[in-house]
Amino acid sequence: MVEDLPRFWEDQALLRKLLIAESWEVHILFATFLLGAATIAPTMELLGMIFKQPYYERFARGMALINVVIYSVGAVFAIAAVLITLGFFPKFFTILFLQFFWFLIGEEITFFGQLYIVLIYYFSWDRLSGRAKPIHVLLGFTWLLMGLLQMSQIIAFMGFALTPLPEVPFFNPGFIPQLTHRVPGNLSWAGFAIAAFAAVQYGRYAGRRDLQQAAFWDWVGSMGVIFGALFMIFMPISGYSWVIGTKGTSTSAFYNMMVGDLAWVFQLLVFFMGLAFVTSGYYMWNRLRRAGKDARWLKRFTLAMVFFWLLGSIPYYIGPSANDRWVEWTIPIGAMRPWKYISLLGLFSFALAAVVAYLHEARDGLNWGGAGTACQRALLTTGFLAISMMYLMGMTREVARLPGQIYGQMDNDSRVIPTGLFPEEDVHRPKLGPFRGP
Amino acid sequence: MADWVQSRTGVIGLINKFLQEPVPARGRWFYVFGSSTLTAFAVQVATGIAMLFFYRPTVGEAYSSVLYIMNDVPLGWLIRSLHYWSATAMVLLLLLHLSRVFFSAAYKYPREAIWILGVLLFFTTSLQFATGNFLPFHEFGYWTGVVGTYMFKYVPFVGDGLYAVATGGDYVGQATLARFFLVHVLVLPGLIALLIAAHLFLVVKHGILGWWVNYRAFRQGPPPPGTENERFEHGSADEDVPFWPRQAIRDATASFLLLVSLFGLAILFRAPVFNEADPASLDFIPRAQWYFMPYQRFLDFMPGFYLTAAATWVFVILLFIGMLSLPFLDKDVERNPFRRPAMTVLGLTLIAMFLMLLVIEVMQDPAIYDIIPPGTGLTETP
Repeated sequence: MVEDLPRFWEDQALLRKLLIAESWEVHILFATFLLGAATIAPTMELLGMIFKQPYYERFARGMALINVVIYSVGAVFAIAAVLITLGFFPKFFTILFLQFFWFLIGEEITFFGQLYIVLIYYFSWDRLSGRAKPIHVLLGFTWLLMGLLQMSQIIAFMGFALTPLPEVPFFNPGFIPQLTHRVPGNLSWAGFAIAAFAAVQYGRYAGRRDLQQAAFWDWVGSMGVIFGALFMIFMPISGYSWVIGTKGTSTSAFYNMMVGDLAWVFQLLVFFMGLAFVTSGYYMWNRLRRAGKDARWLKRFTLAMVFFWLLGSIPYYIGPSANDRWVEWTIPIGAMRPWKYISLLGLFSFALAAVVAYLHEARDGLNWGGAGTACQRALLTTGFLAISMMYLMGMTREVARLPGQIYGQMDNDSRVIPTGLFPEEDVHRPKLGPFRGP
Repeated sequence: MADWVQSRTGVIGLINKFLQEPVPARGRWFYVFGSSTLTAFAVQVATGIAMLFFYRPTVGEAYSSVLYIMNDVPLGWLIRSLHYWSATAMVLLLLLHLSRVFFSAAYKYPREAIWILGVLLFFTTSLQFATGNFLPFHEFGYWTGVVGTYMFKYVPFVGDGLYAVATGGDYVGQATLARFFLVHVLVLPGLIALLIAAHLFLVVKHGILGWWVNYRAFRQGPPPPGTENERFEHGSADEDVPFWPRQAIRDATASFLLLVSLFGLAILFRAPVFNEADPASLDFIPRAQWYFMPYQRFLDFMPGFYLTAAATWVFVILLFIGMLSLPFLDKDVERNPFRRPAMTVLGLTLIAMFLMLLVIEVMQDPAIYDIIPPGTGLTETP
């Protein structure tokens, strides 16, 4: 029975991949959200200190509490993902672990640092108040710094599998673009997730006629969507740089993603992103309208976003597969150049204009507690779209390097390609530290 | 003696008047960016004049004269390195000064003209920064000059004509160097000096707005509609003090620290010389100076002629028009950045975008852009 297990898993290639993908994806959802919360909490606390408004303080404290409560859940998925990957692809993961051994030790130290600081941060909230408040805010930003250090080490580790360069394993070509992609990504995802959660809470309290609570959650939803939409503007820009970095070092992975079998995933990603911008615009327009504010510009900006979203959503190839060009079914207006560029430029510009216009109109506050169901549906939709985009992006990044576990260095059956980066004898007798070749 | 100078020129009276100008009592160090920028400009002028004694603006001699300055002229390396670092400092300080003015809404009534002159200074300084890089005629300067002048070709209808005006012919060569030299040492410094003089005159006329912490009225919010609050409308601080001695000493301290930093940088990190420009070489990958790197990265995103043309010029023109018209679009009397979330978030977003593109451009190997993907939907312009 036991000896049959490896055989069973070998036969279940799809199941293996699914298990690995799910465990990593869920971990990433948690980890990214927690880092977003680590950014939002001290920022909100600082704003609360300046504005002397209880909403900011409550929001910040809530974000810290969420971190304390669900930190371990994210970590459990990380451990599960590591164990599953190590079990199914031992050679691949051992090599990566050995290559990044010292960085991973650093990652663990920052992991513990983050854990301790978030606990101190949350439980010292009342003690470090009044004149000691700035120290508490500083503690919050130290927590964020620890989180970012941890994240950067993981980015280098995972980026190396797709864009490995023997000379610079840590600063591989995917590192900086992914770092600049993930920092706003944390905030955008956390913003949309908070907005969706706030929509549910708003519905609960509005149903119970608890207007005070409903007003707070209405305000939280508004803050969430501002964070979500604003930081999503940064993501395709840094994401594009990552794609370019991939093109330079892992050319076939780049083609897989952009014009090959995975092109449809990118197309879907653009579709979801455009829709998330449109839905955010719709929320802001509707929210202003319900507050009796001037919403004309928001309406125009949202309609412009609809146009650019539709433009960007047109596919180029409509054949059965992007690689099967036996039938040249192409739609010229769906090509990357110039149409998708124009679409993305339009989306960014009008999304930024929409956020700025919304902030301008809402500067003296809105009728908090007066959001309608349409606004809450919009918030739930953006939350769903954010999760979908993260799934798709994670899938694209990890599947793009196929057929290969480390691009150009290790094939799909964990056989080392003799490039000199991982000498075969070292693989059988692995040793710590960067492999420098024979 | 002083009486004689005063009776003949009136300068001493003017200086006294200037020293007694009221400045906001609080905020202090936030106001030193402007004076430090002026100090950096003074260093630029002084070191630039010193280099003119040895520099020769010809294709055959420019590079060797720079080598001569660096290797043979007594303290020539220090002069050129000071010129190099003060240019960077001037741009950096200008950006800080601009940010301070933007976030404290110092561009609003009655200081619109000060802002407009500041914006013109920002663009002329950028041009000064770009043209100076070309003069040593090393490979870095030459190729950035080639790319920079080629950008004129992207202007619709008159692109070729503008390119010919910029280069002095059909290619970057002697005529281009002569033109860049003239613009860099005469036209732009003169223009910058004039703009600075006008900028300072208006600052003295309207007073420094400073930072919003000076304004109790701002912190409490705008006056209720229908009521008048002259101090609020005119942006007068709660409490004023004369420029001399406190603020003058702060400005002097900041300028002194700047000079010390410039000398330190010049001694520790000499201005680079690079290899001599070789127009026939295809090995060198041109990259912009740090200040233009985010712009270069933005342009790198753009494929094809039309999108590159639009990004090259439409972006710059929109930025220019947007900055010039800012005081006329944002006419609200509110100056507290926390109660102007729209403008504050817009400013922070643009700064974050600039920094993100800068980091990516600095850290990413430029060689990766050389790979041209073969004919696919990704590359074709339908």
